[in-house]
Amino acid sequence: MKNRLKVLRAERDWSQADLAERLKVSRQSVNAIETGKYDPSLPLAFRIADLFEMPIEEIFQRD
Amino acid sequence: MINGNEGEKQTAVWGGRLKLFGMASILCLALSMVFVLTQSPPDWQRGLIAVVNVILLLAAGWSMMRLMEVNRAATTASSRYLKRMMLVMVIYVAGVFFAEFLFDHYAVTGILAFVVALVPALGVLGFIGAIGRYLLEEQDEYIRMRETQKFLIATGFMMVIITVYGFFEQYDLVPHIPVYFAFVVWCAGLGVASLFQWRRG
Repeated sequence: MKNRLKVLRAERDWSQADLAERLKVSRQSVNAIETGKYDPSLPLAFRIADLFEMPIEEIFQRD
Repeated sequence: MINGNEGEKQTAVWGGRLKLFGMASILCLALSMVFVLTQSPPDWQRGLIAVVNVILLLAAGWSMMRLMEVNRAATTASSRYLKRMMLVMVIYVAGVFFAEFLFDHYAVTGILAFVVALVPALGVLGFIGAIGRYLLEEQDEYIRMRETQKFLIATGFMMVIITVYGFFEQYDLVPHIPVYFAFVVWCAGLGVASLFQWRRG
């Protein structure tokens, strides 16, 4: 799965650690999701969508 | 929270200490295994190496906790897990010395002998319990997935090594090792799993 997390984060000038703190996950988790090594669960994907105030499908897309 | 250059400096310092204590501890563990297999040195030397190893492991655990804190990589569950591990390590060594002392100086027999022999096992059981609690308490799903993967790799590693060694032992090709060594091999498997994950990124 592809995602726009890195772009969205950069637009807000947040570091990985900032985003991790807002999502209440570790920085490694943010890094793994951004680099496509890990696909988040639905609850975490919803939390990400809520944080960016966007629908999930605008953040995560199929390969 | 530590930022900037101070953070990098702290990472280097605690990372270096973790490597140092970790490597020294692995050496100690290897030496202990050689001692068990050869059964050559006197008990006090084996006891001494065990105490040194626990001190090294505690130092490595502390360094890891500090490293995770400065890198903002520590989850609440992982900090609790490390603290519990350090506690059960101390309980384990105290248990071993307690049981050895009783068996050496008193005629412990019957049911009491089983109870005393169980005392060192309590530390190891605590270790296993701490692992289970950690998996239940870890809220970070990615970290939990990585740790679960590590535990599965360690389990596979242990089964392979113990099975192969068991057959070698069956045909008197190698010396006998106590059954509880399976857990030691499992712990070594955690190291192998960490290397595997590190290589895969």
